[in-house]
Amino acid sequence: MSGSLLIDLIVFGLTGLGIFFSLLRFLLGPSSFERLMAVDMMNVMVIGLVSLIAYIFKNNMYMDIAILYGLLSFIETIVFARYLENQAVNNAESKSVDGDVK
Amino acid sequence: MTGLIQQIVGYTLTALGALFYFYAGLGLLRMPDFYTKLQASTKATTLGTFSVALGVGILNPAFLGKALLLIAFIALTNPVASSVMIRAAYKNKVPACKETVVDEIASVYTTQENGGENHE
Repeated sequence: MSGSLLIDLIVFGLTGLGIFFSLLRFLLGPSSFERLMAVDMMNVMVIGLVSLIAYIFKNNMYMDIAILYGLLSFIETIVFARYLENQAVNNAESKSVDGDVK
Repeated sequence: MTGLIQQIVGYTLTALGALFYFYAGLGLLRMPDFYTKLQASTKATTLGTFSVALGVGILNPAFLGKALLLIAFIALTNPVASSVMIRAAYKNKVPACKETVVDEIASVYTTQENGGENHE
């Protein structure tokens, strides 16, 4: 019993360190792409953490929460990435239009 | 006896997944470049989520169906998200590190732009 508790502490500690490093990269990332990447990685780690919580609390509903969280985080990542990509394309088009006017 | 083997295998897989999460965070913090950071973190978190979900499903067989569903879902969505992010960064001309030698995607984009100009 105590051995399994120790293993649970080690597992949660390692996952928490991973999430902490990802949060650090989110806070001091130079560009917005690295912040987006850090948020995406944090979401995937939180999925694993929720499935661990499902084992600890012996409740099957947490697996549903993990799957739904993964779906929403995937949509969020796609939407933000497409937003940044379209921003780049619009900047290039506006620059070319300015060059034509000049 | 089968319970003991089940617990050993499940805890080993779960601890291995947590170790992969730790390595993903470390690679996210220490790699020199956007592309290498995304490489390290995406692969490590995909493998870590596979391992953690499979370990939880082995430890408690009532969770095995949803754990396999979670594994299939991660295997479908995580490479797509990584690919979309890296395409957005490449179109925004995020610089690569000095040690980068090969840029295979540059020829794809230049041929696409030339084809569009020729078509016009």
